[in-house]
Amino acid sequence: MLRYALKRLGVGLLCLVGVSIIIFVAMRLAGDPTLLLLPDDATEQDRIELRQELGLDKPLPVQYAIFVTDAVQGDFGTSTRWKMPAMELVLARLPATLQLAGLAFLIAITIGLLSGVTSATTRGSVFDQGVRLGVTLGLAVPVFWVGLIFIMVFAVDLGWFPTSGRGSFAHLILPAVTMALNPAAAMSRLSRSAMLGVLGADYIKMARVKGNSEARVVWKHGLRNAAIPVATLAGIQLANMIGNTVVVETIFAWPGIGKLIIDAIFARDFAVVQAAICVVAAAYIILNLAVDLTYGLLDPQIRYD
Amino acid sequence: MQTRREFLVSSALVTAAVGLPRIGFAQSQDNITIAIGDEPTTSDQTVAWTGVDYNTIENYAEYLFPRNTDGEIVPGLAAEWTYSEDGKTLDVTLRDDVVFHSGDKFTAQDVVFSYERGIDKSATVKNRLRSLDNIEVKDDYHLTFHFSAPDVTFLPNRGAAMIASNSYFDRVGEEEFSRQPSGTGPYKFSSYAVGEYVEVERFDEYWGAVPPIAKARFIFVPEETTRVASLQAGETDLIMACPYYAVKGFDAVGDFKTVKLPVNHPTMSIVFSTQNPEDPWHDRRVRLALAHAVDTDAIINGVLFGVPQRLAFLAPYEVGYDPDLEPYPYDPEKAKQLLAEAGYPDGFDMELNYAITGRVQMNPQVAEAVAAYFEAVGVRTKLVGEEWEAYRSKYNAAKEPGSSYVALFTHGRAGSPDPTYNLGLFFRAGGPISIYNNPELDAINAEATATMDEEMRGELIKKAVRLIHEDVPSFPIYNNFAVYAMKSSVNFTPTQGFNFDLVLVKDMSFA
Amino acid sequence: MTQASLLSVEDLRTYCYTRAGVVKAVDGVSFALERGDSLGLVGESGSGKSMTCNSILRLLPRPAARTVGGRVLWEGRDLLTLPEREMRRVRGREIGMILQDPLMSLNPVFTIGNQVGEPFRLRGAAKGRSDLREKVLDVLRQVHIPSPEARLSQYPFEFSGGMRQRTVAAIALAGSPGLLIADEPTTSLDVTIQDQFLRLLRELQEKTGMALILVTHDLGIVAETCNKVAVMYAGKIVEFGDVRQVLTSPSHPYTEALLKALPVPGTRQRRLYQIPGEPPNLLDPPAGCAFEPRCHRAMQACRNARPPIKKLSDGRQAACLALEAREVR
Repeated sequence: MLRYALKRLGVGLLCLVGVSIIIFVAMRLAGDPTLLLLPDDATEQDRIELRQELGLDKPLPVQYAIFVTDAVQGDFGTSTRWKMPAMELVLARLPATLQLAGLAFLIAITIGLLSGVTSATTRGSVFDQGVRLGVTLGLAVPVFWVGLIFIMVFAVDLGWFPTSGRGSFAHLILPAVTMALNPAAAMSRLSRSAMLGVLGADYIKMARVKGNSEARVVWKHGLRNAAIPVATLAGIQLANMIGNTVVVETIFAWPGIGKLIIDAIFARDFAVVQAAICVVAAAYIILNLAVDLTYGLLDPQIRYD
Repeated sequence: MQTRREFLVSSALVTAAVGLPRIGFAQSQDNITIAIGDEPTTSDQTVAWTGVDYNTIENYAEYLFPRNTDGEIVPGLAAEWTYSEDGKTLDVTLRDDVVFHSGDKFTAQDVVFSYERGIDKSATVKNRLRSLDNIEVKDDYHLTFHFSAPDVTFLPNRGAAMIASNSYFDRVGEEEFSRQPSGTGPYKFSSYAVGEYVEVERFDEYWGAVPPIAKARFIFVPEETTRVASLQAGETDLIMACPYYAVKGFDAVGDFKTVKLPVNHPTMSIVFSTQNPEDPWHDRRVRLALAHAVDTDAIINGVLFGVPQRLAFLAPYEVGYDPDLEPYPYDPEKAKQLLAEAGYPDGFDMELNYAITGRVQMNPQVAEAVAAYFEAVGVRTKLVGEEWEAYRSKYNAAKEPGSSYVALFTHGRAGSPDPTYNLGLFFRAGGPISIYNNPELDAINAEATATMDEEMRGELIKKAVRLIHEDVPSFPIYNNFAVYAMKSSVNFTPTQGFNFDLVLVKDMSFA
Repeated sequence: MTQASLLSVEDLRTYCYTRAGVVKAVDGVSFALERGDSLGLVGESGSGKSMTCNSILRLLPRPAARTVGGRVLWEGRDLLTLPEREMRRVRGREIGMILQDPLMSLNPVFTIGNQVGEPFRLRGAAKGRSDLREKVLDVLRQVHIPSPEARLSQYPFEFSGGMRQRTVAAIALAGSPGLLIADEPTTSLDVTIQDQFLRLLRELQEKTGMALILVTHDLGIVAETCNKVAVMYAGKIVEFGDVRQVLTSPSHPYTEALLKALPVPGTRQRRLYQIPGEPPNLLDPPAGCAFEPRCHRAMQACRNARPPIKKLSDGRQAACLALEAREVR
């Protein structure tokens, strides 16, 4: 198991390098940051000077080499937009996103599993049909629209939650639920089909033969098996969430890393984009590894490979 | 029947019961919560360079020559000043009773420090002080500005550089100076939570009138719909950059109100590149035709909810305002006639560029409306929308000879420190945001720029404006208005400035 | 029957509700079982053998299938009327079941120790962990699984087919049932393992005195393992009686045909005997005897009404009008 984890980490590191190169090149191809860093009335001379100051006049490989040498020592440059060290800025905003993605994930997996499994055990019932309708809606509605509707209904009209910002636990709820809808729907659907598959197995019948209550048959004997494919999906979704928080963070003024990346991209703030993408990529890789290990925990056959 | 106010109060109670007020900042008559769009790029007033910075910074830092809410330059840190005859020297007497938030006394040395640092660190300050040669310090409270050429924008720019304390800088060093800025304003900088808010606190030793509100928190809410919601929900007391579509709603309800400020800049205009003789709009008649083709009143009322206005060129309070200059009337028949005269009786095809992102609201909708009007007179228009940076690069490239370009652009006519400034920026050949080339115009503007006397300058400006009006290198659709929405218990008088709609807490109070 | 039998199934009817219509899967089945009996339940696929067993334990897939009539008297109580809670106590503890596929019968994610221990835990039979462990090891030894201590932390996929089936038997044994229903337990095992396993079942029966219902389509197994046999066709029992008697001199034409179809070892047969015709469509069963179309003794009367099951002189039961005619003669 340890060798397996180490091997995956090594591959992950390679991925990180690859990602950093792609982002590095893409940003510089995307356009001239001096347009955004200088006021409208700046002259061409000003722009040339700024480009030199930022090191943008050197050839690309040289720029990349400088970046890597500095990065390995922890220096990802200074943000041109926020005027502070890029990595410090990214790490300061990371916890907010982790909090949001974390809660959203918990909500998604709880609702997804519970509704999917119950849907499977009550197949054909009104509940089942309701869940399946919910799944379709959850997969179809755009996050942007849902977020705004939530704000209008639950924050403005009903006043149950704040409209935006970060502060107490209550601030976290609307954005987390908004983010959770889509993955919850996907996991519900998968849980349902996985559970249906499992419920037909002989060992389920045997569990009943042993005299287990139906609840124990489903939740103890069945769930462990149905959870295996769901765990894989869940891991992917959690990693995705970290990258996809942008829309929710913008709508709810949540000071996370997603909004930071978008703002940095619009401002052509190379240092911040690079630092942030590296962090997100690293998070993705670590989470994938965690999923693989969890998979091993759930399914004994995987452990012995 | 439950009024909206009762409903909001009960909502607030429910909200409070669930333990929701933003941590550490209780809402009361002494504290105000303001929602602004984006967060500032810096807290340091000598580094500030772009619009978002000034929303917060101008509460705790000041210029030498402040502007009051009526828009006039009045004494402040600079108590008295006199220009020389030729306009190249400005003698200034400073107030002797000013103290920085850090406790240091304000002297002429701080002025020199602030100007030098501003020119070094802020491209905006540097641009505005191109004609400043040096500052001569006579004593602690007397100094003289020496200019290489008379600068009519210096005073309207309020002196261009914000004032910081030299002794404070020497004492705490660069990093602390930037993170914990100290100014001379009625409020002092309190804290900055990255991505969330900036807080300021009343400064009781302020040299001027101590303002009514004790504390202010500026929260960053980039999504305009969420900003509106936060006001509706009672979480904020005032929001800036209220979207136009929300204005009617707020005005209709007794609990809220809006205050509109005619900032007038930018002037959203249709701008033509005249570099390519092959383009139909190379012919002045075509440009004039298109100017007549658009019903800007309909756009303002239909798309922009009737909020902004359209000026022919300058606003009434500006130097050189020409009351006889009429904006292009909406006349589609005349448009078609002109097109026919120019040799396009069946119209032609063109692309209209516009920005999808950026801080101008309703841009795509305005572009679509304009395109529809063009289509109505036979000009088949393809809309090309791009992200702001790409769009801006394209605009810059339109200066090149041979380029074909028409755009809905954030142009500049009214609302600048002095009309000569915008004329130079947007219309002078080689101007940083100009894609136009008219030597006659440049000559008149050069002369006006050097004329300190307002009346004489005004005449020259009128001439220059007429030239532009005749030649139609661009035509205006509407002038920017800043809209602030607030609870009806809040009184706020915005400052008639230019470019940046400010949110000054000193001009706010609770009824 | 003078004293109450251990298990008495009376006129059991279980119907399946499909989109095409109602399938009378179990259509009036009756038999009785005493302590220590081993009953072979034979028939073709679809004859209703498994459904009968599922009905006894009330493990029918609802809402598709339902028991609509009859009684299942277990030690005097009618299982069909018990509340679910009490039925759960019957399952596993009083009546056990083992299924055909041993791999799929075991939960792949739980250890052997866990799964074999579960019946003990469910009935609260173990006092503490070490007691439970002892009981599990004991029952594993009873089914002759070698080195049981090592097995406790292993998983089903690590076992061979034969060991898995023994494990399933161990699980059944752990419940200490009075009756074990084995639904085709050897069908997916190698022939050599089959033999071992059947011997194990007999051994367990001798030791514990439990009754056995062995569902199979293999008459050879029945001959070796059982003392009674019930032959089912189209949802009904057509012949019931002592194994030796039924197999040496079958009464019902279907039983005759089944025996005829068995290949005789030691002879060279050109062609195996096939029962002519096909099993009936249970959606639309005939009014008369279900076997009639394929029966070489069929008479006109056979088409008119279902032949009732009648006791024969030697204690056997059979449902055949032709038989009656013969007897009478």
